[in-house]
Amino acid sequence: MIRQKISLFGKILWIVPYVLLISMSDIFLAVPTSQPLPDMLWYRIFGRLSAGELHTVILSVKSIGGIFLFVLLYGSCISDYFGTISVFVFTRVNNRKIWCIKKAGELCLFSMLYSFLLIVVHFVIGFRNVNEWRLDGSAIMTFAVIWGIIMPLLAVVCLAVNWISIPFDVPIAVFLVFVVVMILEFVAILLFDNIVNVILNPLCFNILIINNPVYAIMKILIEVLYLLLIMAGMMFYVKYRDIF
Amino acid sequence: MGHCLRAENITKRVGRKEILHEISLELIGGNIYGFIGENGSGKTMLFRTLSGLVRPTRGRVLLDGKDIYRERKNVKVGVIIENAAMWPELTGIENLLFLSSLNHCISYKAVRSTMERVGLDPDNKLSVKKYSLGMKQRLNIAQAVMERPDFLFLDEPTNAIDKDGIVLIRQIIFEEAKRGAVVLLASHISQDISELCTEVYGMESGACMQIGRKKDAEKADFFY
Repeated sequence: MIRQKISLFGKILWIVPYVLLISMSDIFLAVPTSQPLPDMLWYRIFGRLSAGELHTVILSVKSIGGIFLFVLLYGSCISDYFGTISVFVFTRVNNRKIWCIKKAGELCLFSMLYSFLLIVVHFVIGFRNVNEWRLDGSAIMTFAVIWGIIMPLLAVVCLAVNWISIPFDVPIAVFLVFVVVMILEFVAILLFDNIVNVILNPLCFNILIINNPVYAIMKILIEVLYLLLIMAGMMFYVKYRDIF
Repeated sequence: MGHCLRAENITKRVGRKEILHEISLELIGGNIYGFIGENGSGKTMLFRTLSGLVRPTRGRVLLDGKDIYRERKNVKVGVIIENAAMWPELTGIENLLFLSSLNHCISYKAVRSTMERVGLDPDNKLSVKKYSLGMKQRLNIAQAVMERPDFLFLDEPTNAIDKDGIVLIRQIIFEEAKRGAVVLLASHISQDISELCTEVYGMESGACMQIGRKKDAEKADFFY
């Protein structure tokens, strides 16, 4: 049991070599700029899309890679219970809804720690990219907002993969979820200045969110709402699912 | 008062196919109930439905008077059903400890002694994927009985078990019933049914009928 728990938590550490790997050029070749640390963090963790004078924040391929890695690590941590061992597990579970909430909560904890590590590593690497590396209020606020956005996003994607992989296989679930991610990303880029898109599309991160804390909080709340919705949906699915 | 399992007009449809048809049963603790029938007659589906794994399309299942799908609480159920298996990468005792951690109702010592009861070594470091079929089946029996369940569903429990093992498993089934559990047993081995069961039910095309007590079962043409 302890071995299983340690191995589940230990997998979180995979994000450190991943971020180091994708940041090689920043670590060894980058020249410090006058850009403030918070701005640099936004563009490093997400990605910048520029068109003339317009520029916005989008999820770049390397950021989606971080989500993909999380899905590889935890994409079957709930659906595994619906394999051959399901008979032995669900004859012991008195309340499937509570069981499901506990498992989803565990996944949220993993996503919280994983995203925290991801941001910390980017934060530290940022030391090489700015003239003045200052841990002031605005840097801490940026850290908190990015964490607040990424944590539920990771959990939503991973819960969706777990849910779909109960009736189907994990590879099919990963494929379907990432098709949806790509469509949302496409919409996010096409309609990057549309306010409805900025608020409702979980993958749209307009400059408004960086500059205006109200938008940032709205964005986090919407992401948390998506997380709660998917948890509720999965909970009812698990409750009524026949175990064959 | 002993434990009681009551099934009221259970029907289960999967798609358009009716797997179980209007089954009603009243089973009392301390007895072993045998279920016989050909492959595909609905025995396993009946066990899945009675143990709460599958929701009936119509009807309800009451374990000690409580609807298993609505107010299941503190009802201990032990199950062996075909195709069910443990985590292959864990050892036998790690699997049992994992399962016991879901309800926290037995100690480490009790898990060890259950393994010894079914003839397995709790200190064996082999992962379950390296177990023989017989060892896997013994482990399945250990998980079913380790928490002293009130209701025990055993679908072909002696499958893949050697001669000495079969005697041991029959003894365990008998002891569980003596303790007061409601034991349901499905087996293709006529001796399992004739030696152990107090009442026998026959299943055919999703319907269940009482054949009678064990003497009558020996004459039934369900055996082959």
